[in-house]
Amino acid sequence: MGRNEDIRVVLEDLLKMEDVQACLLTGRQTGTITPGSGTKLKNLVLWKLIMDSSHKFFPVIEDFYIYGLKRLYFELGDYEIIMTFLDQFTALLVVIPSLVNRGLVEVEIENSKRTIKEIIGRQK
Amino acid sequence: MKDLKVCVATSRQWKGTEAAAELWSKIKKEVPNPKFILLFATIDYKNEFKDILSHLTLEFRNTQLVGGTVAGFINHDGCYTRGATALAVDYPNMDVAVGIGHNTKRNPEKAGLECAKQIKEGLKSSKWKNKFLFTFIAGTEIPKMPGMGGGVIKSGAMTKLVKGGMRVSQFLMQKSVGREEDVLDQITRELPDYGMIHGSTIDNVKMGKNYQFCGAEILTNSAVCLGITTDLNFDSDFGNGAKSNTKFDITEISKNNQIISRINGKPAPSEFSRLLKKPEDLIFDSKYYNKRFPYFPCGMFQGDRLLLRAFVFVMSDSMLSMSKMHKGDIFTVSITGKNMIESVKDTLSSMDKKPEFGFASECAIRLMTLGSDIEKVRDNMKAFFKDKPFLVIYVAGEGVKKPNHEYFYMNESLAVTLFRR
Repeated sequence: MGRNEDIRVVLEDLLKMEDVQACLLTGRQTGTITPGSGTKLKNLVLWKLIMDSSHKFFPVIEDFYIYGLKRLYFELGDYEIIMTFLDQFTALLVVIPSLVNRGLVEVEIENSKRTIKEIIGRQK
Repeated sequence: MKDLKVCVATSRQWKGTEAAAELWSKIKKEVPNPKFILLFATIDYKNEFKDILSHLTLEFRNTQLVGGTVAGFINHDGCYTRGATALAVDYPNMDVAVGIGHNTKRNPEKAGLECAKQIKEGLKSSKWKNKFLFTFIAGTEIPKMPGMGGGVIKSGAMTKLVKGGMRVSQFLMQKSVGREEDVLDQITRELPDYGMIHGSTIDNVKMGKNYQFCGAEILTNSAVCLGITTDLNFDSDFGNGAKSNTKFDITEISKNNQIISRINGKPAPSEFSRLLKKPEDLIFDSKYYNKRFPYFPCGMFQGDRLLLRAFVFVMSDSMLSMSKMHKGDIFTVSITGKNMIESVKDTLSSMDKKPEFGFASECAIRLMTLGSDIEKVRDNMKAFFKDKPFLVIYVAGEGVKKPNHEYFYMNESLAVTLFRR
């Protein structure tokens, strides 16, 4: 499998978690990679907006990354968006319902982040 | 001293047969004929338990297996909130027996006695003097009722409905508080000379449904125990990193010692928020309550040890503790993420003897509070155990006991047992 396919498998595993409603990898070099099965979000307009706009955060992220920026959290209506940074150019974005226990999901986000970093590292 | 073989294996395969095969191959390589296996899985695998258990018990026909569902686990492989893990042990100077008790929420005393009886019977002819119990008991399951989301109910009418509903559901559906202490009271009374480590089974902290495993059996509302007699030594301790602050009195509490209605003679929620010097609307905001409640448990002393109780549910006039309040002084408690992590180091160093392997039950609340920083707990574990195997499971309540001592039952804590020669 190619790099993007390997990453898709990791994202698919993450999406299988009950509380994960959507996830994607976004980055300057990787582009946007989504799980093969898409999203559990019912609002597809919102999902498209998230996919199309996630890269717009990078100019801000790059400024703060050198100061140790690891994660960004957004509350968006009934959802929470967690952006975890692999480096200043690449982020794993996960959408969860706003009332769930974020800590448990974060453990698996961290595992996915590490696996994706390994995959990207292998390809360099 | 004869050969002690220990293996902690992990699988992240989604299919039960594949997860079982991965666990089996890892265990088989290091412990070909284990005396016992402790098996834990996250609730994501609920449709796969049957395959996992039937395959493992088929491959390890002479091995006793117990376990259940957990919110997550950490070991040398990593930190996980999705997956399955097993601790397998073989040692010639060891006898093992299992006990099962049913209907823990309807008749916990009977369940405890059933367990203890089977352990006693199974180990009656053993010549080994050191006795130890692993106990895993069904934890709290909150029945689904309207208006119960977020852990806060502000309506008085809904509070009455929920309180009444929970009493009914406890008996009829066995959906309610776990009653683990009522089970453990019986087990420890019947088996006083056993050391013990306990974990209450849980799902992904939604408190919907949790399972216990014994052999190939998948159980609910049950207690499963593994008793061992051996010439191995063991040390157990616990820690939480909390500091007690303001003393207060519980002036009205339910029969089961878990629903607190009045503190210092005043309605519990408003008086508790006054003691914490926080606005009631802020700490009991349903949107954030699930994220905030771990930071304000209360504490009480058993001897000189501070035990924590978390309020998982707040109603208009009362607060539900995850486990029983004891008589005596009660305190507000402060705890930080940093203190939680430091307490792991402190607990391990309090038993500064080099172990062969270790097993720990840690509160799932700490896992949800620390999130990915749980890696720092693993770092502390790895630094202590070095190349020796260890397994930490994340549970709804944890307990620990030294032989011929009373047991401690905690929330928001880490209970550890180290096994050594």
